[in-house]
Amino acid sequence: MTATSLTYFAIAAAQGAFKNVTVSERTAQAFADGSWILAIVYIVVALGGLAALVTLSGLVLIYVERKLAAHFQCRLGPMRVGWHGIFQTVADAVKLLLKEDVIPEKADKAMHLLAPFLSMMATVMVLGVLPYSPILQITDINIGVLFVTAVSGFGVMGILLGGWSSNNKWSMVGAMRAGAQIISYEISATLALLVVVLFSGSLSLAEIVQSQDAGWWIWRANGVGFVSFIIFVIAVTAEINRTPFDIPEGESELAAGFHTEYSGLRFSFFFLAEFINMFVVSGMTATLFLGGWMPFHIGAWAGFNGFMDLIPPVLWFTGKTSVVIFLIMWFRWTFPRLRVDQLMYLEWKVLLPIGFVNLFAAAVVVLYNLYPFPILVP
Amino acid sequence: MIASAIYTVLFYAIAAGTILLALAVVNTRKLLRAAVALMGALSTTAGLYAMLDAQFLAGVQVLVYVGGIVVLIVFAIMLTRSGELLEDNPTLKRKLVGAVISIGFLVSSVGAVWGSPFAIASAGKAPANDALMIGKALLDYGPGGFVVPFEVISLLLLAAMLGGIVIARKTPPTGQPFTSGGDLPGEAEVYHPLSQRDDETGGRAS
Amino acid sequence: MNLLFVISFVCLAAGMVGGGLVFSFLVAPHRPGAIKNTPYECGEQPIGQAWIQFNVGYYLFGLMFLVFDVEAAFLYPWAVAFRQMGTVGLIEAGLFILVLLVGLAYAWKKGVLEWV
Repeated sequence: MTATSLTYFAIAAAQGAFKNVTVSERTAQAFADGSWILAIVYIVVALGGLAALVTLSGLVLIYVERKLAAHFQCRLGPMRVGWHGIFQTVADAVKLLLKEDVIPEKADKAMHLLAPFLSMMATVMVLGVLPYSPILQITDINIGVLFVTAVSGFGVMGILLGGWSSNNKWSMVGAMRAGAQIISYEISATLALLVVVLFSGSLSLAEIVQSQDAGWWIWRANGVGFVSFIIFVIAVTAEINRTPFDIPEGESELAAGFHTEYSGLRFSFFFLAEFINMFVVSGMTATLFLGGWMPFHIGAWAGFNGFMDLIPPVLWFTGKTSVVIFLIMWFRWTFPRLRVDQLMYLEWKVLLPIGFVNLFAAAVVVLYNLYPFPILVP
Repeated sequence: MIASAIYTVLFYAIAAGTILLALAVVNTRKLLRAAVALMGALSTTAGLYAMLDAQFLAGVQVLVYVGGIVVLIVFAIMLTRSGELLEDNPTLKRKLVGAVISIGFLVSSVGAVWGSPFAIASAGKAPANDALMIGKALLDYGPGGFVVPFEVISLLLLAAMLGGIVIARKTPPTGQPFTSGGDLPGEAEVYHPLSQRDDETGGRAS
Repeated sequence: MNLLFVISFVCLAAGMVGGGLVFSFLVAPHRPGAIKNTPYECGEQPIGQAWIQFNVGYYLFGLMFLVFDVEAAFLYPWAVAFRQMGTVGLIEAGLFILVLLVGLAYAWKKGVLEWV
């Protein structure tokens, strides 16, 4: 009994220390106190930080992808620009900025411009609600998970619109395939994250992270958590059009898919959105299944847990996200590209039934409190 | 004071955006542009819901309408052959009928909104965790619960799915990958690869 | 306050895309040509429009998705409230899902889930 009560005490203390304060709450507080300048400073800092995150994570991820790809293939990758080529992506960004922005003659020009904006918008909106640490979250929406799933719809529209407005056959086919693929796999992703919602009883991302203080859902939700983790990773890999699900832009079949007719900076926005989406879905996976910024704890082992608490939460979040990103990049050099019919088979005849059964099993586990590995049952 | 002023300004901005986008939906000649404008109008409506603290409803609005229905509309547009509506000069009779119907709809909907008592006005603020309250109300089988509508909705969705499948499967020609027609009228009927002719191979060889 | 931030995210995205394009417009060359502006088809002459009629399969998958999407919209509040409702919630949601799985089974049987 003492061990359990000690753990309760530790959790209560930790919750006090890790009390969630989002930037939006600070802004509201400053607003209520009448200090206008402070509120505006908060908003500007939040948006500036978000813009910096978008740019930096894009640059870093593209570099990491190229380096990883090279080393998987026993190459060196970019080596010339800076130490081990770390400024390669910066050079590429400058190059894209200086490239001519070619708009095809038959294109629908306004829609051609709107499409990259929609893609970027969907990405930025999700980045803004992810909990990076207890005190580092721009805004915590109380329908968080639903919000994330919902705004990804703008990304789908961005891709469909980009393909349609180009008036190019490759773009068209790529966009249609991308649309069909993303919406199909969204169902499985939703079913997988509903399992987490069932366990945590909340849609808010910050509360979902808080609910994992006694163990991350990937193992604490015995079995069902792990199954939904697998389903979620497969589904989000398909949703961001990464190999083995890169049929929409399979370069050997469709030139470049939906962004064939995009060049210069417009292309780079699509490209950037795609790479940041990888960060976004990995961050979501970490938040939902791997405890977000929660440190790794083993039961009531105070010494170990105390040591783990020394690592700042933001590093925990970044570390977990990086692991998932590495996993997704690893997929690319492991699995061959699926055919369209295999893709649809996998989703509708394999993942979807498993997802439904898994959701039902999760409900049973929650209902009867079946926790065979009781790390802690609050 | 200033907070409420911001609220008011935001409301009028979003409302004006909704109306402008809705006008764009009916005035554009390109079907896909209409779909995009519709997406915008539906998202700004979600903004209005969020302003009323109905956050869950706003989320569902974006999830279902932007992520589902607009995408479905885009796929439906891709089923049609023309990217643009043809220039069309409606006769006076059609204009009159259209005007009568739309004015009638306006009158009836305004009347319905005007005449219905809104519980929210008397009950005060919306609950903070509206998803939880909606969930409880949906699963509640006692008086005031919505379990029967909840179950009926699944039947409705089933009917929609079956109906859609039955109607769409009838559309000829089947068995052609990706494009069911050529660029010229009648081209689709001219050429069928041997493997796709049902009469000779007894079904498609895959 | 949340809504304000969400709107500011949209503005941020618009600012990034718009600002980037304006800057690029200022520094990048701009020499359009008739051949450069034709749709890219790997060197072939484009024939006809790209806005053609697509397979009905896309529409069917879109329809199926919509049904499951609406269903998910109802499952979100169910999942949130489930802990407080108990067995009743399990039975009701089980019935709800089962009815939709009948639809999935029908689609499976009819071959809608096969990609042409």
